[in-house]
Amino acid sequence: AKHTEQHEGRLYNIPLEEVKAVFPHGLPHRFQQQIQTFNEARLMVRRPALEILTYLKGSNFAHPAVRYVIYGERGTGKTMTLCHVVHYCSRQGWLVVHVPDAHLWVKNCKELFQSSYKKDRLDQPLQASVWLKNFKASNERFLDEIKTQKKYIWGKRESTEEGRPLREVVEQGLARVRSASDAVGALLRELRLQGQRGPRRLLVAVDGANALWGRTTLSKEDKSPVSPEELTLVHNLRKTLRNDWSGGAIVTTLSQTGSLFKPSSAYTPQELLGKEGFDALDPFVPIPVPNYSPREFESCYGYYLERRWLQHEKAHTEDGKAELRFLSGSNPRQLDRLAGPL
Amino acid sequence: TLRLICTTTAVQKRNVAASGPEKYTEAFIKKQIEEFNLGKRHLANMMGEDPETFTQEDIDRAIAYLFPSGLFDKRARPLMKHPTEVFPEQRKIQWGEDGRPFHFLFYTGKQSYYSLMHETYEKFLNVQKHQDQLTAQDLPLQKEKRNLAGSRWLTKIELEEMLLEKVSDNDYSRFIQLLQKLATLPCADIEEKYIQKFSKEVPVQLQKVVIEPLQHDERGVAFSTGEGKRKTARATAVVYDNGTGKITVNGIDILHYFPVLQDREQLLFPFQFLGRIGKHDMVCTVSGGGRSAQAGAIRLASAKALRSFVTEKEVEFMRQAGLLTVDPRVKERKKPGQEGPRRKFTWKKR
Repeated sequence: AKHTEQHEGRLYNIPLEEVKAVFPHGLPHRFQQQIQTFNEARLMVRRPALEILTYLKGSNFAHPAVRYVIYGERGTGKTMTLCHVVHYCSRQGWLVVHVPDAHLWVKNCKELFQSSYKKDRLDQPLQASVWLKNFKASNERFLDEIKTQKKYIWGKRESTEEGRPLREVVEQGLARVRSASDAVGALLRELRLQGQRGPRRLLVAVDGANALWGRTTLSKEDKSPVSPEELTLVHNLRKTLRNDWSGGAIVTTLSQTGSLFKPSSAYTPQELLGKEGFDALDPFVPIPVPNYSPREFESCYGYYLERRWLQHEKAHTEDGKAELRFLSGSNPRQLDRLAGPL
Repeated sequence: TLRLICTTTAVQKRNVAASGPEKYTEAFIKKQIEEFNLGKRHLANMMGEDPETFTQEDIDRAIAYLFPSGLFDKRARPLMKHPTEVFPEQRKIQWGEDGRPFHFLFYTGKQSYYSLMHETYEKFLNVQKHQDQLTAQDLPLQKEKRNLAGSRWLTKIELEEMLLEKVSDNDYSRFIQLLQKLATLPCADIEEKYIQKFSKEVPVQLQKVVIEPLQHDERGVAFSTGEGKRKTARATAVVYDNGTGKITVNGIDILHYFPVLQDREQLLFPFQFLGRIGKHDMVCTVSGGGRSAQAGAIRLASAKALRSFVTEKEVEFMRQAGLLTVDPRVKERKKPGQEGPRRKFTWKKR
């Protein structure tokens, strides 16, 4: 869908089949519930998303990939902006690597195995396999086009030769759960190289990027804490986020809700990423996401009214609208939660 | 000359019986007064002030300074007052050495009460006579209405104190009726002084709440301040006109300071009641108390500040809605022998 600045504040529709295809795992939970209720997916076009899209349209892909960091207070719509960009890029035909929430990789992991590839790294087969499945679902068409550049050995008996389609790598990872994380690493490497040569652009969209540089809640068997570098998935993702490849763009979001050991009032990149992360991501384009502007608020309110989501009689009046605006403070998440029981 | 009927011993015995209620003899009270004056001069010397011009207030202050006490009841604290205020007035012995009472109404039992009634009725007849004289001379009757609304009659207890004897309810009501009859007569101003002895000024009942006018900022924006409190939380609010409806608490936006919806609803209530949700900006400072108490305190402060922006009728509406009253509920004290303010210990049968 082509959007210009005139469309700011309006909502646009995504057909349901595309939703399932493009975002198997990307949308926030509440938004998915809303899709189910209203039987359609409506996304609001907001200024930060438009900014990113203009930059993407105008950027030169021969240069190294530009990094965009979306940040803002809690509940202002960063993840939704990211999804908007992802949808746009997939419509344009880009290759999309979408990590829904990097925080899932650094906490609450049940199984940790020692990596077969490198001795001191740790694997996470569960999350890796889940992610591979989703990746396959979203990027079906491209798996056959891309060929591997290097030979990968998955263990004593299996190996993938050069020049084979990527589909085999993915399926290898899905079949052999133990080597799933290595499969992910191989995949990312291939995609990076691909982006440099081939006609396909690559978009790397990571939600909750601050998880990659913080601490983890996991610990090894001898109860010593694990730093994120020792996890294969995180390590590979960090390599991807470095600027050494060209032909695409990287869009990341910082999220406080899933982040570990960080105060709840922190929302700037410096605070959430920490020194390491900030240095690693250093030349980036920051994009703040504010609360709703009055126009956006009115359009959201109008949408709820149109969908008969607000049942209370007083909600239809001007006073009710002023009350909602006051109580939610024009914060999208608050407005959503407020409008729920009404 | 008095005739000594009885012997001295009989007189002395009756005197001793009467001195039962009289605990303080006159000599005793005189001695107390002398001691008090001496003590006053000593105290003035101690405090370094002039003994001649040392008033009762100065005495109170000096005593409070020299003997600080943390007792809650003011009457239990150290006290230095003139003996006439400390010792209650006594009935002196009503009869002489020969046993004859001084007052002619002694044997009625309530001598001072009946003498008072007689006096009042005498004044009453006086006034009627004066009235008849005036009507006979065809002069206009002077009517200067006493301010009945600003004064009240003495209570029964005060009358008892004045007469130094018990007054029953019936007697009291009859006396008050007589006084009222006297006061309502047109020429009662002759006996004005007499009536004033039995009436008291009632202090001003309603303190009219002054609504402050709007003050103006440097930029010309009108604003007003208000203070509020609730359960140990104190808040001051400054409400500006021509705003967008933004509210800042201690420098932080309300969304961040009050993450709970209930607190924000409390803040919203005054504005919603007046229908001015998006019109005013507010900057408040709050300290003490908990989350809910701070919200209540800010609500009261903002309601008080909004009074200046609003008509009197709406102020009355706000007062009836309970937006302007301080919430008196505070944490109740724990009592000994109980686990909490109301909860008793678990009762075990054995």
